[in-house]
Amino acid sequence: MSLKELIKTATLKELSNRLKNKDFSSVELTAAYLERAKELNQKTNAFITFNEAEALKEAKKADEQIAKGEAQTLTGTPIAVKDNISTKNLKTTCASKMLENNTPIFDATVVLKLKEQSAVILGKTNMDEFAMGSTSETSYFGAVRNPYDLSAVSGGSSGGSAAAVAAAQCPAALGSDTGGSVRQPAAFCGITGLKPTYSAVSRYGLIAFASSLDQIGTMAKTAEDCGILLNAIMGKDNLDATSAATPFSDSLSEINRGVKGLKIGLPKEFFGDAISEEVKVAVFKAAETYKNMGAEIVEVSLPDLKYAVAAYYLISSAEAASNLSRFDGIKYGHRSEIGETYEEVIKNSRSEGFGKEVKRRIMLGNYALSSGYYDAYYNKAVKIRQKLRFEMDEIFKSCDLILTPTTPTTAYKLGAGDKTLTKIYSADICTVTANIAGLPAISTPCGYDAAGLPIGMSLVSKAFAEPSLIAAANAFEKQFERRGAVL
Amino acid sequence: MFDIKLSAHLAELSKLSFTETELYEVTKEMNEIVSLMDAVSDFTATEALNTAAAVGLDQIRADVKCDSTPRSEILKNAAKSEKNAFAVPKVV
Amino acid sequence: MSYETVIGLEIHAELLTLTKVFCGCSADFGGEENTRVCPRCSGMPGSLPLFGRGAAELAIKAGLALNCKINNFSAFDRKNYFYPDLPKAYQITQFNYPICTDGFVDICTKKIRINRIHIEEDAGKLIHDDELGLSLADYNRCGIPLIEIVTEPDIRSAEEAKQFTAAVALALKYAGVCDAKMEQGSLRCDVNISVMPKGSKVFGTRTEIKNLNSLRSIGRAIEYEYSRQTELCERGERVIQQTLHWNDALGVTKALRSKEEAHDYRYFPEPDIPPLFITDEEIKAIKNTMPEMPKEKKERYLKMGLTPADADLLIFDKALADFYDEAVKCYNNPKSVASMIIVELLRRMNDLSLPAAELKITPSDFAELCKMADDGTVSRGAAKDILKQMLEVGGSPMEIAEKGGMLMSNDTSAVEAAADEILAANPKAVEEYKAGSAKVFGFLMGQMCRSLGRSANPAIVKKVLEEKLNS
Repeated sequence: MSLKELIKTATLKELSNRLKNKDFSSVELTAAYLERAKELNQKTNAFITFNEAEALKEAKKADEQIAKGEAQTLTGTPIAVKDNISTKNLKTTCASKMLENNTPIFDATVVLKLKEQSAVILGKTNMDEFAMGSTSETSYFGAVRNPYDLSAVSGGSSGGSAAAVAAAQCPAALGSDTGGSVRQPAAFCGITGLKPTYSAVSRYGLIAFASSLDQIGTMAKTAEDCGILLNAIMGKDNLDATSAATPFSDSLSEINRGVKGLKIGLPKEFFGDAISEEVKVAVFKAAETYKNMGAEIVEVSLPDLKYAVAAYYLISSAEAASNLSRFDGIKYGHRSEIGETYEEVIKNSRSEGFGKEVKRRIMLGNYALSSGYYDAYYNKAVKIRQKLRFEMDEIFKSCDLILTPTTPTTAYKLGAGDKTLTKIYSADICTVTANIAGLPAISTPCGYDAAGLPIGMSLVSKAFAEPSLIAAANAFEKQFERRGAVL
Repeated sequence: MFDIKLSAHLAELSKLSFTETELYEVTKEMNEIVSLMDAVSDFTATEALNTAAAVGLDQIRADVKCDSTPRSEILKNAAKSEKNAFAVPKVV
Repeated sequence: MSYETVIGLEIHAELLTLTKVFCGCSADFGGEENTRVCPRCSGMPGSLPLFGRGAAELAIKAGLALNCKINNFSAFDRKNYFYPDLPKAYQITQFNYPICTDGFVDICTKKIRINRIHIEEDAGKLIHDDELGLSLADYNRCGIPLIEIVTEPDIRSAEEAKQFTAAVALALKYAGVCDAKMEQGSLRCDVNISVMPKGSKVFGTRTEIKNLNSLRSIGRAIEYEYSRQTELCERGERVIQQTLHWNDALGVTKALRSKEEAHDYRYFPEPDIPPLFITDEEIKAIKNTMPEMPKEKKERYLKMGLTPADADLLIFDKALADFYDEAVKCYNNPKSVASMIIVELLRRMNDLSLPAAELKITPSDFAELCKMADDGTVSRGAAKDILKQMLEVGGSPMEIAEKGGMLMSNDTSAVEAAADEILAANPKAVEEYKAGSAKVFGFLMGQMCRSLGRSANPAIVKKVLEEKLNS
C-alpha cells in the first residue's frame, strides 16, 4: 500500500511501529500528511496554521534518531496541536482576531514534551474562539466542517483537532477540554477523545479559558492511540502548581484487561428526554456489548445533574472573564487604532478583538461575580460543584465506570439557525460533570445515525483511573465496526 | 431581570463597548442565558471548606532566582512599545 | 462640639525575598525597565503563577512578630480591575483565607489590634512621557511580594498612628521580613479615618488616604483630615466616603477620582494556585528561627539596669542593639557598655553619618575599650580619642593606646616629681589652698595633667597632689 493510502486509516501505534521498522521515513510520512492535510483543509478548515518548514526539519531530526536506534514511541510521528496551546515561534491564535498575530515566546509543557520525544508538530488546529463553544463556528478563521458531512458542524471547541483526525489530516491531535471540548467533537467526528483527570497534564502554555476546569486531552482514531499520546504529555510539571504526578507510569498498562468483572453504571439522569432516541439506543446497545464481555451493568443516579450545566457555565464564565481581562491590546494582541485614552483604547481593542460568544461569556462571568449577584450565582455554582463531586464519589464507591451518551444528538447543520443559545448550552449536559468533578472521561464511537453521522458514548472513571478507562474503551472498539469518513 | 442598565454596567466592568443596537441584542441574549443559569436558584447546600487540594510548604517553589526573559522577547508581541517599555495611552 | 478620630491602618510591607512572589525573577529594588520580567509576572497568555516558599515563610514571620494567629489553611483570590500597571488585570491576593489573623501591637498607651495579614503582589510602574504623550509601563515591580497588615479601627490620634507604624516597622525589621525603608516605598501606609462626636459609639463616614510614605506625612495627613472632617461636621455637611491622595507639598488631601466610582473587584478563589496548608510543626520551626523581638529585648535591657530611654535608643536600631548584645557578652558591664555607646559611639556615628550596620569596629574591641576605661588602663578622655581612631583608622584599642602613649602609668615617682615642680612654680596657689580655697585644687590638678600628659592616672595624681599639699 502506498503511504498516501496507508495514512488514510493508519493508527498512531501502527505509524510508530512502521517508522521504527524503517518502512518509511518521518520526512516521507510528514510530507504525505502535510500534502493531504493542506489539500483537505479546503474542505474541513481543520487547521489554522501549518508548521510546514519546521515540521520537515523536525522529521529529519527524528529520522536521524531512528537511524541511531534512539527512537521513542512518538519519534517522527506527526501530531496536530490545538491553537490555544502555546508553540514557541509558531502562531497561536486561540482562533481569535485578538491573537491573530500572536507568536508565543515559549512552548507549552505538552509541546515541549512532544518535542523531547521528537514528535513532529504538523500544525495548529482550528477551534471555537478561546475554546468557548461546541461547534467550532465561533472561530475568527471560519467554521470547521465535519468530515462525515461537510455541511454539519464538527463540534467544539476542539473541532479542528477532531476533524483533522477524522479526515486523516493527522494521525492524532491535542485538544483541550473545559466542559466537553475534546469529547463532544470526538463524538461528532467519529473519533476517540480522552479528557484526563484534572491535573494529570500540565496546563502551562495552555491559554486559559477556565483554569479550574481546563484540561489538555488527546484525540485519535483509537483509545489506545489516545493513551499513547497521553503517556507522552502527562505528569507533574514544576511550571504548573496545579499539576500532579499520575499514580501510573503507563496509561496502557491495562489495555488488554477487558471489562470482565467490572461494574459499569448507567446514571439514569443521562438518558432523559433531552437525549435523542438514536443516541440512547446506540449507548444501550454498547452497554449490552459490555455485558456480553463480562461486565456488570447497573443503574446509578446523579440526582443533582440538573444543576450541572448552569454551574458549569457560571464557574467557567467567571474564570474566563478574569482570564481574558489581560487582553487589552497593550502587552500583546489586537490593539485598536481608535481612541485617545487608555480606557478608550482597551475597550475598543477588546470590542474589536473578541467575537460575540466570547463577549457573552465575559458578560456572564462578570455578572456571576459582581457585587449583589455573587452569592446567587458564582457561590451557588461552587457549592453545586462540591455536591456533584460528592455524588460522583458515591457512585464510584460501587462502580468502576459510568457509561453515558457524549452528546444528546449527532452533529447538526452549520449555521445552527434553529438552535437557541440555551439549547446549545444545554447540550453540554453529558460532558460537563467530568470537568466539574475533575474526573477522566473518554468518548468513543458507538453507532451511526440514519444520516450516517457518528454517535459517541462516554466512559467516566474515578480520578487517575485512566488505565482502566482506556482499557474499557479499547475493549469496546475491538467489538465495534467503525466507518471512516469519506472525503 | 436583566435589563439594559445591567448590561451597560457589565459592559463597563468587562471593558467592552457596544453600540445601542448591540447592547439591546446582547441584553436579549443575556436574558436567555441567565434564565438557564437561574436553574441554580433552588439548590440548597452548605459549603464545607475544601482543603483537599491544599499543598504543603515543602511542595512550593523554593526562593531561588531564575533568569528573567530578554526584554526584546517580553515586548515582542506588543503592538506598540517605546523606550524599552509598553506604550500606554494616557490614563485619565 | 468636640470630636474624636477613629483610625484604622493598612500597612503594605515589601518582603525581603530573593525572588518575586509568583515567579523566579529577582525581587531586588530598581533595575533597567522590563529586565526583571518573565511570562509569569507579565501575565503572558498560557503562563501560570508559582507561589514561592520564601514569601510564605516571611509572611509567617511577620505574623509571629505581630502576635498573630498563623492559619494552617490559607488561599489566594483574584482581585479584578483594569489598570495598565497590572498586566493580568487582576491582582493575586488573599481575600477569604489570609495567612495570619488576630494579632496586636502594644504602643505606649494601648493595644492596637491587627485584624489580618495577607500576602499579595505589587503592581508595575507607569512613567509618564510628556515628549511621547504616553505612559510607559515597566513591569519590574510586578509580582514583588507584599504583605498587607490591616488593623482594627483602634487608633485615635496621629500620634498613635505614628507610634503604631514605627512599632510595626521595627518588628518587621527585627524579624528580617522587610527593610521598612519608607522613603524607598518598601513600607507604605493607607489610613482609614473618620470622626465622631466624643463619647459616641457610632463611627462616622470614613475616607481612605492612600500611600503615605513617611511617619511625618502619616501624622500630617491625619491632622489635616481630622480638621477637614470636623469642619464639615460642624457645618452640618456630610463626609463623603472616598479615596484621597495626600499632597505633601501643599499639606492637603485630594480626592483621587473626581466621580465616586464604586469599585467592584469581583474577588474569587485563584484557580491556578492550590491553597496552602501549613502544619503546626512548620510554624513552630519558623518560630524557633525568630530573633528576639524589640519588646522582649527592652524587657531584658531594663532588667540589666538600663533606663527605658537608653534601652529605646539601642533597640531602635537593630544593628546597634545586636552590637550592644555582642559587646556585653565580651564585657559583662551592661550599663557601662550602654553608656559608652549612647554617649560616645552614637555621637561619633552621627558625625560620620555611619549606620550601625556598617560599623567596622568589632563588638569585642569595643567591649575591651569600655573595660580599659573602667579599670583605669586608660583615662576616660583617652578612651574617647581611642574610639575616634578605631572608627576612623581602625585597630584594637590596646594597640592604639600603646602607640599613642595613652596607657596610664602607675609610677608615682614621675607624678611626685611633677608635683614638686608645679607646687614650686605656683606658690600663690599653694598659699590660697592652705588658706582654705578648694577651688584652686582644680587649677593645680589641671597643671599636673598638662605636664604629665595622657598617661597620668587622675586618681594617682589627685592622691599625690593632696599628700604634697597637706604635708
